[in-house]
Amino acid sequence: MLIDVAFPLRRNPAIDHMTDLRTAHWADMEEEEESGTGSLFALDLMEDSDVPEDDPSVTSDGIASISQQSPSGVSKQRATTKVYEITDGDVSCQIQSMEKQQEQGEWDAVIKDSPFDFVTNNMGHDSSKESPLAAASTISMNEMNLSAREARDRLTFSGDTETTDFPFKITSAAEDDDAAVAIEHSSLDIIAKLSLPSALAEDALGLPPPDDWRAQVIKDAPDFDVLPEEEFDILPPEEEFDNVPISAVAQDENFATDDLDSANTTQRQKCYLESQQSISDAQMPLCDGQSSEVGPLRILPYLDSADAFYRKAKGSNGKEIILRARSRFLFNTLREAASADKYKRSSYGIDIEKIMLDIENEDHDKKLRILQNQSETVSTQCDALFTKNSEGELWVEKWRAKKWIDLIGDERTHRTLLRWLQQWSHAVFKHPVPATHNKRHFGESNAGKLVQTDPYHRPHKKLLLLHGAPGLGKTTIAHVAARQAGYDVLEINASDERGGTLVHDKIRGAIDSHRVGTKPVCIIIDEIDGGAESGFIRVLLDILSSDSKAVQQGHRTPANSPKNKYRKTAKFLLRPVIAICNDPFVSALRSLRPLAEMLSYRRAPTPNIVPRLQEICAREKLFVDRRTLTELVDSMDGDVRGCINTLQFDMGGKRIGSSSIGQKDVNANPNVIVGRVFKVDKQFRNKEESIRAVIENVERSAEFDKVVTGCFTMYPSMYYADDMLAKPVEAGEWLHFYDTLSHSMYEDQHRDLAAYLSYPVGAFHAMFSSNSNSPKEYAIAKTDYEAYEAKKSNKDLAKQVIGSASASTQQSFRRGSTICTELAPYLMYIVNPKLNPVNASIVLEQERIMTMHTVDVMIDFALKYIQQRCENGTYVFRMDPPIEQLALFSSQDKDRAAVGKYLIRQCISQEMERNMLRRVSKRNVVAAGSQTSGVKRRKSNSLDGVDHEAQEDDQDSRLLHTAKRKHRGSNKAGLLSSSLSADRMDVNVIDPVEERSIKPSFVSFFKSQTSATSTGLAGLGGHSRQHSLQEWQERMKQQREGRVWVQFHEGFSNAVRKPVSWSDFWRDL
Amino acid sequence: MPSATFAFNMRPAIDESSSDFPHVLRTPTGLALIEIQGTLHTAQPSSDSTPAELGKLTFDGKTAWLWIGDHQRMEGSIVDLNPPFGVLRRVTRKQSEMEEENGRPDETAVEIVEVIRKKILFTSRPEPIVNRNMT
Repeated sequence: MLIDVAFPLRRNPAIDHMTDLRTAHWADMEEEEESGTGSLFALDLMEDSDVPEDDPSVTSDGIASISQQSPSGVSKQRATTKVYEITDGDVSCQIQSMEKQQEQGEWDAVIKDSPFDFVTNNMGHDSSKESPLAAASTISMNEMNLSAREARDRLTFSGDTETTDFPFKITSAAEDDDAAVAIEHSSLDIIAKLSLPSALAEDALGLPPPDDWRAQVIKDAPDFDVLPEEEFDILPPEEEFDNVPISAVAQDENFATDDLDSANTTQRQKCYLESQQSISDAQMPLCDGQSSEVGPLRILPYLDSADAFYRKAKGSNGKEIILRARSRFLFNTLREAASADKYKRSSYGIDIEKIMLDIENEDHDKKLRILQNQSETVSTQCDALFTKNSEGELWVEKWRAKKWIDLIGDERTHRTLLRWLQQWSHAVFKHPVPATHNKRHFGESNAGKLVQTDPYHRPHKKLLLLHGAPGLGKTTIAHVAARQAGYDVLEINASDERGGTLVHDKIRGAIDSHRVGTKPVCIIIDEIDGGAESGFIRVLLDILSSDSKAVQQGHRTPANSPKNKYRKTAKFLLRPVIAICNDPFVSALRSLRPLAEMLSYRRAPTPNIVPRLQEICAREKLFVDRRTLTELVDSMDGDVRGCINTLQFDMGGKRIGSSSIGQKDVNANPNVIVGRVFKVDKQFRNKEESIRAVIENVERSAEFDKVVTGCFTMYPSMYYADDMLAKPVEAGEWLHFYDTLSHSMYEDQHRDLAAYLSYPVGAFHAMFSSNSNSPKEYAIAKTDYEAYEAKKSNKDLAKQVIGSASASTQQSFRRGSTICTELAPYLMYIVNPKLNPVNASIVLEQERIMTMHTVDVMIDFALKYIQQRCENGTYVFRMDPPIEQLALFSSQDKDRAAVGKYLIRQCISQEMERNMLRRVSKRNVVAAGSQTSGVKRRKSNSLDGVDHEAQEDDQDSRLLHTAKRKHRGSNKAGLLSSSLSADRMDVNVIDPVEERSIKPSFVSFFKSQTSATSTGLAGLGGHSRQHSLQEWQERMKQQREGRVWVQFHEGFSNAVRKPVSWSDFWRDL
Repeated sequence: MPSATFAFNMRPAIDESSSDFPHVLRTPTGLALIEIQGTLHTAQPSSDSTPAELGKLTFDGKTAWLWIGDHQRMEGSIVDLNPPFGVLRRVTRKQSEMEEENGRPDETAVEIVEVIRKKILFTSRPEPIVNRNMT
């Protein structure tokens, strides 16, 4: 436990400038030894120091500057105080471990993982140098512990006195050399004694009045916290802290920092502390943040005693900020002060503090165990242990992250995932509904209402789709997060589980059943893109739609209303489902995508992966240096799994240069490649190199068509410098080149041309790449396909329209394109006449003619109006087939074409029906007429109907011929006359002029002719012949009239037993 | 609830003498029940006055054939009806008669015309045939 406060010792009040104390990191023991002779202080802001840990020169410089300054009597110097405290539990254990580590010179490590934050240089120096420390250090530790407790006690009850009572420990009043020497030679107990804070000491040292507090602010270091306005009446200059790099904050267990801006102060403090601690633990070199751009700050006394840990400060630029003492001590006191449930409510409902303690303890245990192992066993035994463990086990599995703290990777994604999972906690764990202070509530932006109406307060989208390149650890993060949120994990691999019903049962079973004694389950569906054909997706869709239905039902009627009793009730989805896939844009997932919360998992930055690999290497006794590992990670493109596999199988303990590490065979997505084409990659020195890389990429993927199409689709939306369309013109040339190549490749089998296919893409890269381009991935692949589909459907439609038209129309519009350009637009115009329909009976003559004309045209093209109900409840008449699709471009126009013309279209469609009826009846009349006369049905008013009729009549006369041919031999004259009469009939029939007007007369004429023929025959021929002819005619007639037949219904029975009421029965009787 | 008087007077068969009638059809009024799985179509709508000619019904022991039109023949069998099928007829007596009897205006009486105990069941698909007369 440490409290470090830097304060100036006023020696010479006249001089008011502050020593520019360079903070130094002192993690490296050797460096400390080098520089240990100076008057050293444990420097505050250690973690936030801008000096990288492995940069000894800077450290020693910094220290040197201090040591130079101190004898020269610069008025103000700083002393930094350190107070130790060991947390109550595990004291002896920790001390033990510390002893052991001290013996092995691992002091540094112990410091970092122990509840102490750090140790002064001198101490570290001493302890590492002086070996017979074991007994002494135990004592001194205890003493320190005591002192720290005292300090804390003092703080806790002096909270309401004065801010200066803040318990700092004066390690050394370092302005005179004697004290420094004293410190250097002091053992721990001296320090402990010195560390006792007292008012006397303050007086003796001449502490400055409170308003002279100064702090050094390092801009990039989040070592102070900005408090919200409502608690302090000053406005914190937010912009000062905006630059705090996320990479520095985002460390392993530091998932709570996101909530910094939440309202709860306690939570904020805790989060803050978490972040602090994580930074100190992670020991990550900060970005090259320049120190103290804010400048020396005037620390103002803080009046509110409850916030004894805060200092107002005034920057050199006049801005006021609030500083907070950075300490774990603070954390602990706050922990005691705050009630436990407050913690629980904050930060995802997880007791972070408990987790932290657990992790700390576990870490200590682990270290202890390792230490014991090391002390007990020789290295060979150790090796045996490891080989035994690793035998038959993949390192990937062995070193898979098991806990939240082990995760490396995109911290933000992790947090997003966890937050999503936490939103289920009300539904699953019956936690109270979290207040909506969480800014990034899922789905809030578009459907805030829906979220609130959800009876279970679940996230808006019930499925989370985690996607990313293989090997980045998607499965791992899903598992860890689910476990972290308190779920049991049910993993279903969609590639393995193929049966649709099986999957359904499994998922449904997992979701619906409440397991006794165990945690609720969280379903993780791995490789969901693999289960596309098995109906896996359909099962998920079913579940999701049933859920949404359930939500709606629950809305409309209470769930237990008797009406729903027998109906199949829609089920709520009450367990989180996480789906994992590599490429979310495959066609199989298209239907799922809109229903799922998409979460892209990106690769972890290389500096995050390398330490982990280093750790693995160290534990597996593999000696690979950092540089090689960095190269490995880079070559694997952040694929951690690939890296570990390479380490296990390729490296095999040997030290291998990066050249021999195989390049990963990445089957890159065309979308990604297109993205790269339009992006300038800074890792290449010149353009040539980057073009070459792009070409190589394309060649490796071998998806030339898709990439080129993507390039063609995307380039208009890209930023590029251009003059007079020179680049698009050139791009056109290249595309033409590509088309020529691929055409001759596939048409003429010139396969060797494939080698040149990638160069157009290179040209695109050369022309259109820029830093500011960021093509949206999914926009690329679809357009081409969509256009193809649309074209196909339009072609079909054109075919359908023209297919039902008359032959002459078909002949004039043969091709689909002419139908679309020349027929459909005019037809659209023709069938949409400008009418003002009020009443069918009161129409102008002109309008009536127009209507009739429209109806005629529509019947000829077999167009119909179909009444449809719109989404908004109104009815419209839509044309079928929808020719407006061919004639109009935008869908808005199409809708407008139908809406607002209800009356006209209704009028027309009624007229059409009438017309159709009229035609049918006319046809029937004609048919009946023709039947009586032996002439078959005819089309009344179509031109070709006449031909048809003539044909039929021909047939009839031929029948007559055959009938007569039987009797040819007997009577030549009769034959002659009959054939003559037949000829005359033909002539009469074919006469096309005034067809309509002659019809009745024609029929009667034909009748008379027939009778005349028969009578003539009768007169000329014998009785039997005439009789046979008559009989035949008679029979034909009979056959037509008295035809009876049965239409058999196979397997059909309309025998339905239904109750008949008495009154019904009698009514019918 | 409406009620009706119910009468049963078994009349003797009309044509006991016509021995060429099969036994099934030898019922008092000569009604027979034929069951066809299908729809009967006629070219001309038949009215009550002029019933359309359906076809011939021939018997051969247990089996029966129904000739429909000129081109279809169905093979069927004679099946016992259990329970038998009663054919009722409503008899509305004359107003005056009823007034004399019990003063009520409109009395409906029902009498059983027939009890049919067998039916001729045609379950099979009609066989297409070529009419002898046509050829």
